[in-house]
Amino acid sequence: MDSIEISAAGMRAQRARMDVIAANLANVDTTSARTELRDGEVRHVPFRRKLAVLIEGADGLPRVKLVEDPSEFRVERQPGHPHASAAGTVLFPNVDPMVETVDLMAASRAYEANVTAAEVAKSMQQSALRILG
Amino acid sequence: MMDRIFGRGSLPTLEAMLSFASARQRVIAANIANVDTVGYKTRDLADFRSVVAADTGVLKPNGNNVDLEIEMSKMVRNSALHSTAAALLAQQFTLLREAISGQLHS
Repeated sequence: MDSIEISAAGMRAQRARMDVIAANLANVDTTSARTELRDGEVRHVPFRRKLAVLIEGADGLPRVKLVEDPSEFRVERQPGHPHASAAGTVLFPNVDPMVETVDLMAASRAYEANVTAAEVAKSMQQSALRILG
Repeated sequence: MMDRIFGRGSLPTLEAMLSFASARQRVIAANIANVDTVGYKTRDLADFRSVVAADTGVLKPNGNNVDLEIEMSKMVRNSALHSTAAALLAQQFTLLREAISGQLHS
């Protein structure tokens, strides 16, 4: 495997992480991702935060695995809300914009590290070519 | 005959340096690519393992111990090794060319 391809796999993995984070942030207030019928009442289920976990593939490169964050939804009392339950509470996604922002910064830095690695590999290949004179 | 020209002196060593640096760049790139991979442990080439064993990063909660700073500095040192070998190799070929043609190469 070429080192530039390895760095590209790293960039791809970090970008997949950023995509998931962007989707979490976009859905920070999505109170009805789906509905379910419970006790004869239509309940709105909010967006559930997703996490991109990187696992090592057989070729030694990172693979993205999407998992759901099982933590509790945020509960707020808003009886007038169209997605409120009979008790007047609304469930909000378990997304914390702060956590997402920090994760986004980490993914962005890791992406840059892979870009630098690809640049170094490129200059190494160029200097090898210069041997030809 | 070719082997007596290219298989002696510093050429084989410089060639080995170049391929070692390329191989090591692949290993370092894989370490950087796996900086967030669950359970991934830093790897290095056999010859350098003793050097690196001392400076592997701290284990993160996800079982990963890739230290980005260490990997970046290893990469810079490795790239310097590669360009040194490449420059010396180019120099050797210039000398050979001068010897063959009998005139100095500007």
